[in-house]
Amino acid sequence: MSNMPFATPDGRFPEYMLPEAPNPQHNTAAPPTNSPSIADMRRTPPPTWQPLAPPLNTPPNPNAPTSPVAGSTQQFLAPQMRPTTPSRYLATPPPQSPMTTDNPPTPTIPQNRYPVASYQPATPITQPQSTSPEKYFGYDHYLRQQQRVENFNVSPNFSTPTPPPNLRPEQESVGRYPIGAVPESNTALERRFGGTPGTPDIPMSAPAMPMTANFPTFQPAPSSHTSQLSHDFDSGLLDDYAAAQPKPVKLPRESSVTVRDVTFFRVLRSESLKLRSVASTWWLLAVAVALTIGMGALMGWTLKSVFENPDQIGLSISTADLLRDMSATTLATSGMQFMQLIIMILGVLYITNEYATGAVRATLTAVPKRSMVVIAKVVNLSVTVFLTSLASLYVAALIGWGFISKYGVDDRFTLQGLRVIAGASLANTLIALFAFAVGLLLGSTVGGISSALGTLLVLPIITSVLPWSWATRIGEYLIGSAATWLYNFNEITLPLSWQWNEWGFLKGLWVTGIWALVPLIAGTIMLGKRDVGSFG
Amino acid sequence: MIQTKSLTKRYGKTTAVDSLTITVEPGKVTGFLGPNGAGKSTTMRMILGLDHATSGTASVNGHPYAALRRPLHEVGALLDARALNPDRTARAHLRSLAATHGINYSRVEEVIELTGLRSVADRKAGSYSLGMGQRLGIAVALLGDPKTLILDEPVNGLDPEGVRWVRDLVRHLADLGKTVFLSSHLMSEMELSADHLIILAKGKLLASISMTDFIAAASDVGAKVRSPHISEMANWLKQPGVRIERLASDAIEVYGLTATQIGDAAAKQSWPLHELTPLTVSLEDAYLELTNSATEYRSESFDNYAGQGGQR
Repeated sequence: MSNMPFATPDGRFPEYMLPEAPNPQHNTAAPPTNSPSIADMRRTPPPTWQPLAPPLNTPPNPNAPTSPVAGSTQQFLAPQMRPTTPSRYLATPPPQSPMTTDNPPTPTIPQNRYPVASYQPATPITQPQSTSPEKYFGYDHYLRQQQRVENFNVSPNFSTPTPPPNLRPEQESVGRYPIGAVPESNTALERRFGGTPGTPDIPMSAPAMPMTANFPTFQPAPSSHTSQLSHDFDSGLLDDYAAAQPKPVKLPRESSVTVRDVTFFRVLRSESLKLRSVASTWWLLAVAVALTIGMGALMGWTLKSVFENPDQIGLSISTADLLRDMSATTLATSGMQFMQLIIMILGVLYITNEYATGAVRATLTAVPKRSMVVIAKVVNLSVTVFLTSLASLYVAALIGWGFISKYGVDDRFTLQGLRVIAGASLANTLIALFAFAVGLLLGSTVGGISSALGTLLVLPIITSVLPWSWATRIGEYLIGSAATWLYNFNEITLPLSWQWNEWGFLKGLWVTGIWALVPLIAGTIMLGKRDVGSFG
Repeated sequence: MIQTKSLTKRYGKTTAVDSLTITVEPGKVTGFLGPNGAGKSTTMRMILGLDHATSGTASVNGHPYAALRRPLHEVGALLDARALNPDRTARAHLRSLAATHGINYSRVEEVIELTGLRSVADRKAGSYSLGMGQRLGIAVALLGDPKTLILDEPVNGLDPEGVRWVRDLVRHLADLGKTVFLSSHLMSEMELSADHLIILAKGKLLASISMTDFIAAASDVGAKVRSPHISEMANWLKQPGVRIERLASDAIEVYGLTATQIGDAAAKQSWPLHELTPLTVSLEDAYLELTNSATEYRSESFDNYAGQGGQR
């Protein structure tokens, strides 16, 4: 008996709502005399949830007791059972009072030539049938419905029952908040209608404005035809005004996603991922590597043929001696200019691509510390260029040695040779950083590439063409020539110089370093001040 | 919670945002409305620290954006879905952003699944359609499970399923207690999603008001009534302060009385009512009325457009 469906075609109510076992001789017109208290109703556990609409062709049980509400199909939702997903809220029209036992008017099928697909019988206004659940979303309204249902079996002079406790299973897992201290439940039921249940009715002429700080200039124009709103629980307007009440702040539950602080190494890892995941990086590096190795092989082959047939090319003996002193690593660095071209393009594109595509916005949204982003990019670019240069130069040295092994100096595995290759890689790195800094400063791809390549290739030509001596002096300090001092030493012909005033490794290092660092610092400061929101 | 205090942005002589002071509260969806060029995107960029304000401050959860230690966990933003490298796949893009915060790759997969990008996650982002790109932008915004969401035109280019999904998503997130700051030009969607409205025009704040108040303020009190006894009803209801307009042979529009009063009156006189609809304006009408004078870039009326007609 306790597993009865909630509603049957003859309008029986579940047993727990009735004070005692239903009497088969119960008079339909007389209301029940023994009203259960609200406490009684709540103590009895509700039956398990059953689908509301019974099958249409279920014949009514002749032995079943009749209820006071005969002849009406009703859907009933127990007060203790609240669906948890907003889309499945059901409109729960209040049950008919037992006094009005009018049958609904019989529908008259209109005489149409065309068959009507669905005909809705006319319903009297006293029983509102809401088609949209919006009106019944109000928490207050829900409670009023609940009170009506509870009051159905209760004598009229019963006092207003208190609303049920706000216990829902998921609230117990909120985490930090103990039960009872939780603010109003976070359901869509209350999204528009906050405040405590039992909010007093507010007359329409004085809508409560939300208590936000610095309330705006907009004021609704007072209209001449607003009138006092009479009490009407079904209008839905009261719910709207309840929404204007200031609501307690709903704090979000703890996140189940692990999110950590932004640290430099994490940003570095992100930059490395970004560089690796773009095809253009690999293409540029491949071209640079191919150029280096190709140039090394080409020079080796040229030298070999020159040395084997000096008379064919017409070289003097002293030049041939010079060639005899050529080492493998020096051969490898012969194609450095070409590699530097490609490396510069890579450096500029690394930063200007972000500006051009607007990806800088995503980057700076994730990492608002702009200096951290720049430093991470610098480190990433340096490591990439250094390692690529090392590998390709060494392979070029090995291949070149294959050509000039009979004639040149073998320094593939000596400290000197390693110094040359390391110095060359360092030179490439600093040139890449210079190009990166130019891109960072200028922001555009075209401007960046042309400026960087112009500085590397065009300026030395200009300074060498100009007739004055100071032009030549300036030409020594340009980035292209300064960088060559990082790898251009040969123990046999030129001593390894560590002096400041003489051109050598140290001087080359600090001049090239200044070329790279000054625009980098300037670019970082500029990025910090600049508006990046509208790039790309 | 987003707060701005006298936020101002000037580009030379033009003031894009003029001393804006707003509060975006948690637990509800706040719609950010305004005509084109009103300064909505500029405001959102200033909140995220992408643009520097000329004066004033903007703070998220009490701190300026640059001071946040886990920005993606505090704020998730979709300002421009195209803010990515088109040669990169969506998965790589999401992973690179996740790496900055030490977020696991499982979360990346989760977010790809959530936004329905599973089948296209390994294609280059440049090949995405408008809707897919928009979904990727939403995925980026949700990556760090943020407490605040700032979405600029999230339904731009989405199919109806996507529009419905975004609507339900922002609703769900607001119910969880998050702050949702939504800007859109689609009034019908805004009407369904937003609880609170912040309206901007020419850089100035026009209104910060709840949706229901806004519509109620722009609505006339009245109802559309349809009844077989409509003439008697019209005569009965006529009184000073009430205006009645005839719509059809059995329908009138009554201005000045609430639907409740009309229904009660009809019940007292036993006139059956076939329709009783309270009058409300749509958000679109209310908004256009309010910003009528404040629209900077207005389209011309095309009544006099004498262009080519179609084929016969």
